[in-house]
Amino acid sequence: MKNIFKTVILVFGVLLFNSCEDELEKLPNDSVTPETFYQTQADFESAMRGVYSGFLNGSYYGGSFLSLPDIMTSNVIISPQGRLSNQVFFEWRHAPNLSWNFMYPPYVVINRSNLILENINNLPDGPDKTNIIGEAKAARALAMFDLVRVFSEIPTQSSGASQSLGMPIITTTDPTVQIPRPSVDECYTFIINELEEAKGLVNSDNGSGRINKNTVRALLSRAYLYNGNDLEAINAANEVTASIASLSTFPGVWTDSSEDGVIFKINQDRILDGVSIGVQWSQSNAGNVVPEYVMSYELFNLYGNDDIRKTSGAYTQIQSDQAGNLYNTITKMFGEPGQNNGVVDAKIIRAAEVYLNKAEAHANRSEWVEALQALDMVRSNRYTGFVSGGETGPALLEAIKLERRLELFAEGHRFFDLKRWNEPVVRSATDGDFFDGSGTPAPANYLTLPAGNYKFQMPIPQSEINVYPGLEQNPGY
Amino acid sequence: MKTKFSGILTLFLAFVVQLSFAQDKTVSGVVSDENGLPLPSATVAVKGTSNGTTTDFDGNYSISTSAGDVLTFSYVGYSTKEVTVGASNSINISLVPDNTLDEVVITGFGSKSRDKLTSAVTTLSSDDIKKLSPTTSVDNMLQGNAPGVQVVGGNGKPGQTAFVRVRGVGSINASSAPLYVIDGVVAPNLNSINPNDIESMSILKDAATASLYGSRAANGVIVITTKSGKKDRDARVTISSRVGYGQRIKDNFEMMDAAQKIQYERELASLGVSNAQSLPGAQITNQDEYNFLIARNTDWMDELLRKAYIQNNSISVDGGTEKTSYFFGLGHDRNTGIIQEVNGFERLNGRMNLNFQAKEWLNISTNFSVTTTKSDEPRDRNNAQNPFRAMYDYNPYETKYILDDDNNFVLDANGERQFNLTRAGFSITEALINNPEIQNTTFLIGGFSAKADITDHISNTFRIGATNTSYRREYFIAPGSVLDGYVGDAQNPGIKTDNGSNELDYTITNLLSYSNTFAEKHNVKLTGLFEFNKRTLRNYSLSSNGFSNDFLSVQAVATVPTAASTNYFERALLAYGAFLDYDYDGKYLATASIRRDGSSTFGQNNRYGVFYSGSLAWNISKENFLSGNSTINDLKLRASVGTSGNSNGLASYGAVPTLGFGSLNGAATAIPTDNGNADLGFEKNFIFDVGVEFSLLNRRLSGVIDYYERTTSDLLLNAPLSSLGGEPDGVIFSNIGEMVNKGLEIKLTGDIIRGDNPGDFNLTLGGNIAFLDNEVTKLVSTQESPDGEDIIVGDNIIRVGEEIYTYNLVRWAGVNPANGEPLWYDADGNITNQYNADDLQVLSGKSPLAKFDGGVNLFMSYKGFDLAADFYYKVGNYVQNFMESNMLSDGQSVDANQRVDAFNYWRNPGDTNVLPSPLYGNEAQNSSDRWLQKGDYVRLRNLTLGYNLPTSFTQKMKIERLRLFLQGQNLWTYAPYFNGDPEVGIGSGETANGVGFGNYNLYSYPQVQSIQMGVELTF
Repeated sequence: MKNIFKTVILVFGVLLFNSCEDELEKLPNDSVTPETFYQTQADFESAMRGVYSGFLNGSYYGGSFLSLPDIMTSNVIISPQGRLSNQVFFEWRHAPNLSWNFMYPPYVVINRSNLILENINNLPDGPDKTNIIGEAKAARALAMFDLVRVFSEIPTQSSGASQSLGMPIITTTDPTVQIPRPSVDECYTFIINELEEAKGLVNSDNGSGRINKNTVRALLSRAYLYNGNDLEAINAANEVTASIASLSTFPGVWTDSSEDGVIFKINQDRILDGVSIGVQWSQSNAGNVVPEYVMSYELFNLYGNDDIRKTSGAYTQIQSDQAGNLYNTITKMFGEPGQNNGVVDAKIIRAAEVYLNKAEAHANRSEWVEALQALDMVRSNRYTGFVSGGETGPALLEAIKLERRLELFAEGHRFFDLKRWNEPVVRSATDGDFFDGSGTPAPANYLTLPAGNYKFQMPIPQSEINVYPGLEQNPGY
Repeated sequence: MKTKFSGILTLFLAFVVQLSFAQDKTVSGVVSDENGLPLPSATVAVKGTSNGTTTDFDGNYSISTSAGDVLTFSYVGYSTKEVTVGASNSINISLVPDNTLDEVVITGFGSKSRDKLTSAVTTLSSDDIKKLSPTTSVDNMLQGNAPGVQVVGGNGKPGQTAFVRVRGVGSINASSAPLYVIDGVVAPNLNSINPNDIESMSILKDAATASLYGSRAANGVIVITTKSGKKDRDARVTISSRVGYGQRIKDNFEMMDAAQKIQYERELASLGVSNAQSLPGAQITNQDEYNFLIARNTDWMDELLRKAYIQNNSISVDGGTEKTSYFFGLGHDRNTGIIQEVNGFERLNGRMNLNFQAKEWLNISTNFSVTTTKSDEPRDRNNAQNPFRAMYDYNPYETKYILDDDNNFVLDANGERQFNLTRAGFSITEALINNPEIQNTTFLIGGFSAKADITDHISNTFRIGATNTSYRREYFIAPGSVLDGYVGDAQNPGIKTDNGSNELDYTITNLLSYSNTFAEKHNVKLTGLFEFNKRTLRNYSLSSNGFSNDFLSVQAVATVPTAASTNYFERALLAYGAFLDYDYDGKYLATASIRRDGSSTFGQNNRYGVFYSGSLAWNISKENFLSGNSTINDLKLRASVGTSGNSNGLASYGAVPTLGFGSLNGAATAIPTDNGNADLGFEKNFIFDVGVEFSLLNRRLSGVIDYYERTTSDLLLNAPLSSLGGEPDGVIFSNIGEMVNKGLEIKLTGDIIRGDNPGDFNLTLGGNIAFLDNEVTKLVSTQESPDGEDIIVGDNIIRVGEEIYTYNLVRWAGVNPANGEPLWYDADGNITNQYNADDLQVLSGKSPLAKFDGGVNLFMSYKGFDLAADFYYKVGNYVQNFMESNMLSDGQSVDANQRVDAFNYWRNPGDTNVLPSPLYGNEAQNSSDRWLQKGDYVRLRNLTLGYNLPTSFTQKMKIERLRLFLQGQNLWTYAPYFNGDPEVGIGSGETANGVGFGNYNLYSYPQVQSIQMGVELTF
């Protein structure tokens, strides 16, 4: 009897020895393996939203890609009262070891797009499939375009630009891929071809926050303009059906209460996503701001008193810090109505830009009448009681450039525009950070960045070269 | 045990076979232990005769003898004492434990007597722990008491656990913390146990014992055994109670008062420092304004801090019947901490240990404990929300409440005082009141085992151990609070976050053992192990905005839910093992073990690890040529070698490629999150140890010396990828690195004065020292660095050939005496006034790791009094003193209060030993090794004065024992090179620190000193 009990206990123990090995197979509960995904239309739409969310990275349209191209110019001035963030870029001290980590976010967007394109044949042929292909290709082209304008020369900036170093074009999903840098020309050819292809695939209207036909046309007008293809830029712009936000709706665009004139933006939820784009410019609490960068006094004075961008407070307002200092703060990304948290949708391309692209392309072709017409389409929607200046010739080109600077302020354009026009950055030696031009001026060593300087091309981060020494550094660094 | 007991008795009787005559008097007395407790059944005999007796339950004896005879007093586990009979008819004797003779060491899957151990194991008994016990967490007690165990206090926050490293840092990306095992059950952390419940702690440092734990043992194992009752003994009740206060350890520097600060501001403003121009000191135009500010002189330490109230009460009952034994314990700890407005830490626990001999061959037992802790958390981050930053930063002319021009309180509409936001734009007191954070943790730990003796030689033990840890945190930013104004939603004021986790960790263990003795001298024990462990962690986080008042904070009343997330993680571990113990007559000892572990954490290609160990030892003192030698009482040589693994602290699913889900603008997104690595496997640890243990001169001097080399290989590192591939985290986690820790550990204890009789003066001095040398030997190989690419962790570097986390900073070259500008060394070693962040130098030999550390322990007793002093010392580590850089900010933080020695800046050409001129403050504050200071220190960790009431009193009161004591902690510190508290653990609690701890100080909760009095009563 006793021995039976003992045996039972022993057997009970031994029974537990049997296969627990299956228990060692554990899979996460908050994710799936990629092979099991990308099956249904809903899967691809979720994946495509994953691509869009990639644009909202804090180093991309969710932050520094919208701020650094203004910070590196005379559009803004650093405020010593702030945290001095991005000072390195304000002072053009960027170097391989002190670089803008901009390779990662666009290549992540490209990887996500590539995963969609690689698996797309899991979907049956039809309009849904072609629409997704169009969206993914356009998103990939946009990421590629942003990479080359940051790290490479822009074709119009110098005669040798097209043959200088572009950025690797990635169409594989292999995470270990290493490809040397092609020429700028190869990159623009790829971008334009892909966008042209996408134009034929993507739906006319996918709704707000997604790429649609107008998005692709608008991006094409920009890409052609950058590439010096003025005629194609005009044609692409002419295909865009969106109209410019009017005087009355325009201020609401910046608090996301209107979408007028916005062709493509990344929509975000103030609470669920909460990407604080405006924190690049200032932090605020009720009543006071802690400014990081404020509008330069020079630019402030370029806005007239009949300019809705100034009078509505949409672009700039006079605000006070805790010590009572007053600033022309940047309010373009200040928040939704009643908010001061900097959380707004990331605007990527607007109708006003398309008209300015068109005006510039016409001007480049000395088609002054058409150029003025396109420019006035913008100006008539920005100035109360607008009367055309009637400019022509070089004065018109200057007027187009000025309007572009005024309209696209703090949207990530100024640095690239100066770069493609091969113009210098020139800052005032005396204007300070306060609202009336007093306060602390920009440091004397950092007033001018000469035209064509190598610093217009961001350095490849040293960390990237360390892991892939075959990735060639830009000249000058 | 039993055989040993009878063996000793036999041995003893051999001394006393001879008869004695002339028994002309009767001597009586009491035999007691070192604490004055009576020893029942102790043997008293007349030396050289067969005349002997034993003491009764109260330790009383009476024996016929004659003057000039020698009486021997002996008791198992205690040193035998001899006393010559004089004129007196009364001889009271206290015996001292003989640690080296019969100490039983718990080694995890079993226990061994110390003399049969082949492994480097440090043990702490309940008496050791009692001596040190004011800290609420047990790990702090190990500091300075276990050579080779590096303990760095986290910070001074009540309930904070310490950083414990057994024989150095063992990993970079996985955990380096040891495995804690309480009564055979792996425990989450040491806050889960009441120190009063601990019977012993064994720290398994080398392979011979730790390898039995296989893939979880790479960083050492700390085995804790809780108390149990004794069979056939009446219930014994022990009550212990302690109460006292704690306070911040005074700084070894001084902050400015209002007059000094105003003076400083004036000086800097007149120098032309722009930051100073708008400050009150610079704005003063007349004497009245000056007097007005001076009158507001505020000591912010007094305004924000208080004395901590510390209290501990525990009661335990233990005993047994013929078949059962039990231990029952309850405890309550409370420590308010030193911050006003915060309630600090509280812990409640209960334990029941029960053992029942169900059948002659079947023993069942259970150990069960419940512990619940509550902590009221202050913000611990380097910003305006941190009270410990505020107390240094707030200006002495600023006040806690808003005052009017006559320095009267300005009241709000409700007649309440209003908090002054100060220049920091924030009132810390307001935040402590209106932004409360509470953390609750409840631990349930249970072990249930059955041991069946199947034959005389075979036994089987089956055990289920389970731990449930449930953690809950609530953080409320009350509507209308200042912080809500900064971070809140203007339309829905107030923010509440509830988050927490629940972890169930259970282990099924089966041990089948065979033990036998062959030819009387060959002792063999063979054990087979099966173990299965599964851990499930569930967590949640919920946030809402919009609260209508500041006293209802449950999210049921909130207007807008803003975030919700739940998740769960599972991991499993499966192991088989076989262990062999062998000895020949206790002289020659050997062990061997092998164990195969599989973990769900790792990739399909590399999921299993095989771990082994072997050890040998020689008890030289048991050889005939040393037997009876009075100089060398014990001498043992031992050596061991073996391997173990590590997977702790790693993500559960790092091996599999994943695609995760999120949302954008409220709609679902699918995003690749990691490419995984199917080759992911265990980190491996190889350790080699040689040691010698001895006791000499009638066991008055004893010691242990160990040398070891510990190589950790297959360290999991992130091999970076080019961004081109768009890999979500940019890296592939792989088994790549290697690191070596070498060390020498010495522990000595000597009875300097050893009295013959109870109550005589005794003095024992002990000391230990542990040298440790770490070297990184392999990292991720790249084209540029074939040996391995440096890993930069903030201001520290992991580089092949250097100590892990060596500092990597621009070198400071002092102040130019000619003009007061700061100077640095450039990359070529030349002095320059141009700071260049690229001139980083790897400062070989300077790291947060100490070269050596250890403790010195002093114990004295006389009559009922005893005095214990424990010192801890640490030498050779470096700390970045970021707090000093803020307090001597060269004018950069002139708007915050500064140290008095900030006045010592360069003023005239030729000034030396000065701070830079504040005109160069911006440059001077560039990151460099200017603030890197040697962290050497000695600290009087513990000083205890105790008094045991005499037996005459306790007998009258019918109690077994009554002890009163007075205890001080951290009463004295000597830190020659460091300004501030040198015990730097957590730099800043809520700031990620890649190095882990000890590399910088940044306003975390300071260490405290305390004085407590207590009473222990047993009846």
